[in-house]
Amino acid sequence: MNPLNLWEITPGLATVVLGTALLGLATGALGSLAVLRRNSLMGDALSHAAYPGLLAGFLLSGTKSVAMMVLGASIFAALAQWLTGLLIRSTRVRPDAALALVMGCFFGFGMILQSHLQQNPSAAQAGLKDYLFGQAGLLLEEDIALLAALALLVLVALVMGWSRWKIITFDRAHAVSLGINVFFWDVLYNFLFILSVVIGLQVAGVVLMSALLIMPGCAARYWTKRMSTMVTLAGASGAILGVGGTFASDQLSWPPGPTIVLLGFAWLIISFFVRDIRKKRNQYSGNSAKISDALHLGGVGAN
Amino acid sequence: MSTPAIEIEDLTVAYGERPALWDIDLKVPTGVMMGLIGPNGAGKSTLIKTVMGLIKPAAGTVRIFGKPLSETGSRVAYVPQRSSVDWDFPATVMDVALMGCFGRLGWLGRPKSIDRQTAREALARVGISNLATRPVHQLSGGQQQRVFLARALVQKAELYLLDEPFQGVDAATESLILDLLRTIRSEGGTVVVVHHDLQTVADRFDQAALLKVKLLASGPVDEVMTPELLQKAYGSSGAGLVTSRDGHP
Amino acid sequence: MNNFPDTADLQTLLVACLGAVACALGGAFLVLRRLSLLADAISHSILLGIVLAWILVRDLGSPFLLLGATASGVFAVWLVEWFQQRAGIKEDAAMGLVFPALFSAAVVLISQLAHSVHLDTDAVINGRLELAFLDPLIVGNTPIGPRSAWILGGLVALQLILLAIFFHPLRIVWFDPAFAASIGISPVLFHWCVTTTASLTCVSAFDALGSILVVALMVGPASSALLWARQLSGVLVLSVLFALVSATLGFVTGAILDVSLSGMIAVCTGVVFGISWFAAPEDGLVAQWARKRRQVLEFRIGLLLVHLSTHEDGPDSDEECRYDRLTSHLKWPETLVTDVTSDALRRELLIEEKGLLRCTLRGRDLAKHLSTN
Repeated sequence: MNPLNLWEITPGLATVVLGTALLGLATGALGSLAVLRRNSLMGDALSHAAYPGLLAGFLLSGTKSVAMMVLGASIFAALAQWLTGLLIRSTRVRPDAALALVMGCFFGFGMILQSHLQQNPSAAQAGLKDYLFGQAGLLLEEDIALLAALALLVLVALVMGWSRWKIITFDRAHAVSLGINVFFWDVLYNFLFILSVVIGLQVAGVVLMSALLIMPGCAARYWTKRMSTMVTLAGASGAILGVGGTFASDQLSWPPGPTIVLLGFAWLIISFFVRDIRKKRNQYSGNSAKISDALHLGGVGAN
Repeated sequence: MSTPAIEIEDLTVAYGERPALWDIDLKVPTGVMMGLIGPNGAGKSTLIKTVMGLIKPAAGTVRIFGKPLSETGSRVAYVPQRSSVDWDFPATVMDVALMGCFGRLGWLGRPKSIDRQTAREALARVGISNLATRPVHQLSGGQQQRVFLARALVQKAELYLLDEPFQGVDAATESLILDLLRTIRSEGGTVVVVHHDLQTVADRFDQAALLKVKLLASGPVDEVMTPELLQKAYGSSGAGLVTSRDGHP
Repeated sequence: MNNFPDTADLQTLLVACLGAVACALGGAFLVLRRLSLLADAISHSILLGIVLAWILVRDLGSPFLLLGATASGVFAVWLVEWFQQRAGIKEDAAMGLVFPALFSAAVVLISQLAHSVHLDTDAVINGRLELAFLDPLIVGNTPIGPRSAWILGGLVALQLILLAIFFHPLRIVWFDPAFAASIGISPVLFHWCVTTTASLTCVSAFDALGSILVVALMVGPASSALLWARQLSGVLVLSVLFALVSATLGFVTGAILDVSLSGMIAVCTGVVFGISWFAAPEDGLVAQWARKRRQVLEFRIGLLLVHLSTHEDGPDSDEECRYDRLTSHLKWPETLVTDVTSDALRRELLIEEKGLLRCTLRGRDLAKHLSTN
C-alpha cells in the first residue's frame, strides 16, 4: 500500500503545510535569539498587544485586508514594546510586571474593539475571532507569499549579520567596545520580532504564538554547544514541527495550532531526556577530561 | 612628549542624580601598566566603562591616543568582569576567542584561517589550547577569565582595559595573567587594570591612580601609595595597611 | 422576587468589584515576588484542569471542576519551576513554554469532546461578566444573587482571614526568605500557599472576568500601589482601592459605551496605573521632572565648584578657571555657563577676580563636601 495515499494531500493542505513550515522556520530561528536574550516572554506580550491593532486595521479598512491588519497590529506591537521598555527604564516597575501590565491593557482594548465589532456584524468579519486561537487551516496562497517573505527576511538578516548577533547576544559591553552599532541591531531585532509575531498571529493565534518562538530554541539548546548550530536547528525543527503538526492535525482532526504546540512540547521533553541520558553517560569521560586539564594546567582545571 | 594612551579631561559621570565620578583629569602614558585603585563604590569600573563609551559622561572628554573613542576602532580591548555575561551561552572557547577579531572584519566578514590561527595562538598564550572545543558553561572561574583574555589578545589592541581580572581566580591563573600583562607592556602595549587588593599594587603595577569619586592621585606607584593619600581614600585602615607594609617590606 | 440586589447592573458591578478585590490581593504578592507573569501562566493553564475534571465527573456544575482547575494552576507553577531547576531553562522561557502547552492540550481535548460538552474557549479569554447575573445561587427556592458574587465574596473573605493570620510571617518571607528560614518559617511552604491562593483566585474569577482581565487585575493595581506606598500594608490597601476604582470606572464607561466590560476594566487598570505613573509622590513623572530640574542646577554648581577648587591653586589655574574658557573645559553651552555662574555668584559660592573665578570659603567647603561624599 502506498503510504502517501493515506495522507491525501490536497492543494489546500499543501498550502497550509508550506505556510506553517515557513512560519516555524522564521519563528524558530528568531525565537532562539529571544531565548538567549532572556526576553522570551516578549512574544507573548506582543501577540496580545497586537490583537487590538489587528481589529483596528479591520475597522479602518472595513475589509479583511491583510496589509491594513498587519500594519495596525505592527503599530500596536511596536507601541507596546516601546511602552514596556519605557516603564522598565523610568520606574521601579519590574520587567515581569511591565510586560503583564501592558499585555493586559492592550488586550483589554482589543476586547473592547471586538465587542464593538460583534454588535455591528458584517459578513466580512467572520473569521476575525480566529486570530485568538489561530486558524492555520484558513491559510491562502497569498498568505504563503507573505510568510515566505518573512522567512527569507529573517534568514537573510541572521546570516548576513551573524557575527554581530552572536557578539551582542553574548556580551553587549564587548560589542560596544568593538565599535559595533548595538542600537541598529537592536532595532532590526525588534522589527523582525514584531513582524514575525504579527504575521504568525494568523496561524498560531494570540495565546500560542509565544510557544512557536520559544520551544524550538529551548529544545535546540539541549543538542548543541554552539550558537550557530542552535539557531539552525531551531529554525529547522520549527519548520519540521509546522509540517508534522499540520499533518497530525489533519489526520486526527485536531485544531492545528495546539497540535503544533503539543508536538513542540513533546520534542522539547524528548530533547531534554536525550541530553540527560547523554550527560549521564558522559559523566565518566567528563571526569577524565577534567583530570587531563588539571595535569595540563598544573591544577587550574580542578578549581 | 608622545600622545598619552588615555587622556581624560574634566570628566564627571552621574548615575541618575548621584555623581559617581567628579571632575577627573587623568593621563595614562603609553607603555605603562596602571592599577586603578580605590574603595568600593569609588567609581573604578565606572571610569573604565566611561572610557569605553559604555556610559555617557555628564561633562568632560575622553581621548584615546589623541582621538575620540569612536575613531579608535579596535585599538582598545576591554575585558569586563566575568560576572557580566551569561556563561550558559551556547559557544565553545574557540568561538568566544574568535569574537575578538570581529571589530576588524566588518559585519559581513567571516573569520579566515589566519584569524583562527591568531585565536589558537591566543588560547595557547593563556594556556587553554586544550579547551578550545569545550562549551563555555563548563569552565571554572579562572578558565573563564583566561578565555576573556584570549579574546582581548585576538583583538591585537594597543590599550587593554581590564575590570577586576584577578577577582575570584586561582593562583595559577593569577600569575599567568600577570605575566601576560607584563609581556604586553614590554611589547609596547598599555594596560589599565581595575584592582582592589592594596597589598599587591606595588608588586604588580608601575603606575597607579587612586580614586574616590574624585581622583586623589595618579603617577608612579610609590608616589600614590603613600599613607596620607591612602588614609584619604580608605580612612585609617588604609593608612595602617601601608605602614605595616613599610615595616615588613 | 429578587430581594437582594434588585437590578442586573448592580449585580454585575458587585461581581466585578469582588473579582477585582480578590485578584488584587492575590496579585500583590506575585508582583512583589517578581512573579507577575505566573498570573498569566496560571490563568491560561486552568482550562486543562477543568476539562480533565469534567471527563471524570461529566458535570459542568460540579465543584470538582474548580478543584481540578486549581490543581492544574498549581501544576503549571510546579512545571515552570521544574523546567527552571531541573531542565536548565531560564525562568522567562520556562513560563512561555508551559502555559501554551497546557492550554493547547485543553483546546485539543475540548475539540475532541465538542459534541458532548459545551466549553467555550473564547469565553475563557474574554469572560462573561455581562451574563453573570443570569446565573444566581439558589437557596431553597429563592435566588440570592449571582453565583459568581458568592464564590468571589467567599474567596475575598478567605484571603482576608489568611492574611490576618499570616501577615507577619508572610512579610518576613517575602522580604528575606533566607532569614525567614533561619527563624523557622518555611519559605517553600508560604510560596506554595500563595501560589495555590493565586491559582484559586484565577479559577474563581476567570469564569466571570476572563483570563486576561484576571492578569490585568492581578498586576495592574499592585503595580500602581507600589508607586505610592512603601509598606506592605499600604501596598495591599491601595491595591484593593485601585482595583475597586478600576472595576467601577470600567463598568460605568463600558456600560455607557456598550462595549465589553472586561476589556474596559482591563483598560481602566492601565489608566489608573498611568495616572499613578504621572502623579506618584516620588516615582511619578511630575515629581521626577521637578526633582531633576532642581538637582541639575545643584549638580552643575557643584561641578563648577569642584572643577575650580581642583584647579585654582594649580599651575594651570589661569587656563582652567578663566570665566571665558569654562565653556570649552566643562563642555557646556555658553548660556548654561552664564546661568550656573551667576547663580553661584549670587549665592556667594564664587567670586570673580580679573576674569578668573575663585571659590569663596563656603564654596570650597561645599566642593570638598561634594567630592568626599
